Amino acid sequence: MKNRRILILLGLIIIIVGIYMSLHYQPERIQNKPGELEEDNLLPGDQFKNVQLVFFNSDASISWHLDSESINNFARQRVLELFPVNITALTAEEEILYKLYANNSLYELDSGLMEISGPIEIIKDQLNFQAARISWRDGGDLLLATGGIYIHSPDFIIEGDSLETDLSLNRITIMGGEGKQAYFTWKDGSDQNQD
Amino acid sequence: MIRIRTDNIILRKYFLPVLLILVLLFTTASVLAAGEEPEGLWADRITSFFADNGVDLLIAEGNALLVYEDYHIKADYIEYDYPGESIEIKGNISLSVGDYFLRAKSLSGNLNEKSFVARDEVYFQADDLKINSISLEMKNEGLFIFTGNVLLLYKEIQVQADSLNYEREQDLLVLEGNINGQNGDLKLSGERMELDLNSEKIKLQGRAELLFGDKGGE
Repeated sequence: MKNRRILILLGLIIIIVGIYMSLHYQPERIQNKPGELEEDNLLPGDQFKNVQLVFFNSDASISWHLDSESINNFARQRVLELFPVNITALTAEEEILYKLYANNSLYELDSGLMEISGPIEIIKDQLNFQAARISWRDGGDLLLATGGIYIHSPDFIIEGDSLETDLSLNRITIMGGEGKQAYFTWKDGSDQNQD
Repeated sequence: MIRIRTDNIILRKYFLPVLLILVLLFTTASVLAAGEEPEGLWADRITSFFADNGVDLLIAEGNALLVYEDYHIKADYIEYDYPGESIEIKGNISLSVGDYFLRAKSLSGNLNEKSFVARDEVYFQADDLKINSISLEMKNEGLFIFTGNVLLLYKEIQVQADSLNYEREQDLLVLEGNINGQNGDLKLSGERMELDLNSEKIKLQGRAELLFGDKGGE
C-alpha cells in the first residue's frame, strides 16, 4: 500500500516536472544567418501580391515606379523582398526615361538600400543595359552595377566589370575588372565603319 | 564488281567526315584571312556621355588604347567625340600606324579626316628618319609640318631648323630657318634645305655654307 502511494507520488512529480519543463524550456528556433532569407521567417499576412512602390532621387527630378508581383516582409530583418521587379524611371514631367527588369530585389527599410539582382535588363530607347547586380540607396543620385556589364545599341557595344552612373543613365563610367579593361567598340555598319 | 562495291562503301563511309573537315578548314582559313584586329577603345575606366540614343562623348582613363583602322594610339587619357570622330589625348602618347611611330605629350585632331596636331616633346620615327620638335601638324597623312626646335636625324645627317615640312608622297623634307647641322663630316648651314629621301640628295639655299670638318675648308 505504502509502495503504491510512493509510486503514484513519483508519477505525479514526473508529470508536473514534465509540464513545467515543456512550458519554460521550449527548444530554440534555429537562427538564420545574416542575409539568409527563408520562408520560415514570414509571419502571417507578411506576403503581398502585385505591389507598387515609388522612390525618388535627391531632388525628386527622377522617380522609380516599382511594380512587383510579390513582396515578402521578413520578421527578423527589416527587409522587403520583391520579385520579379519592373521599374519605370520617370522624369519630374512624367516622361519615361527607361524601364528596368530584374528577377529579384531586396529593400532594407532602415538604410533605404535597394539591391537588385538579375539578370537585369534596362531599356532606354535604343540602348540596352545588362548587369548582374545593381545597388541604389533611396534618395540617392548614383547607381552602382556589377557583374557582366554589357551595354549595346545598334551602333556600339560597351563591356566592363562594374559601372557607376547617375540615375538618368546619361553619364556612365564603366570600370574594367581584374585582367580585363573596360571596352568600347562600334558595330559593323555603324558610321565609324562606313568611310 | 566486289572492288567497286567496296570503293562505294569507303566513299560513303568517309565522304561526310571528309566534307565536314574540308568545310571546317575552309571556314577557319576564311576567318584567319579576314582576321583584322578588333577596333575600339580600351581603358581601366571609360566614361560615356549619352545623348539622342547614342554615345556623344567617351572619356577613357588609365592605360587607354584606341584602335581605329591602322591607328594604334596609347595614352593616359583619351577623349573621343564619337559622332564627330575628333579626339583629345593627353599623357604618354604613342601613336603607331603602318609605317611610322609618334610620341608626344598631347594630341588632338580628327580620326576620320586623319588630321592631327601633336604638341610638346614630339618625337617622330619612320625607319631611319627621326624628327624631334615642339609641335607637329599632320594633314591627311600627306603633309607633316614640324615646328619649334626641329632636330632631324637621318642616317648620317643631323640637322636643326625652325621648321620642317615632310611631304610624304614625294618623300621630300623641306627644312626652313636657322639650319645648322652636319652630314657625316660635312658641316652645313643655311636658311632652307631640301632632302629627297629617295635620292638622298641635299639642296641648301639662303646663305648656304658647307664646311668639310676634316679639311677645314668651305
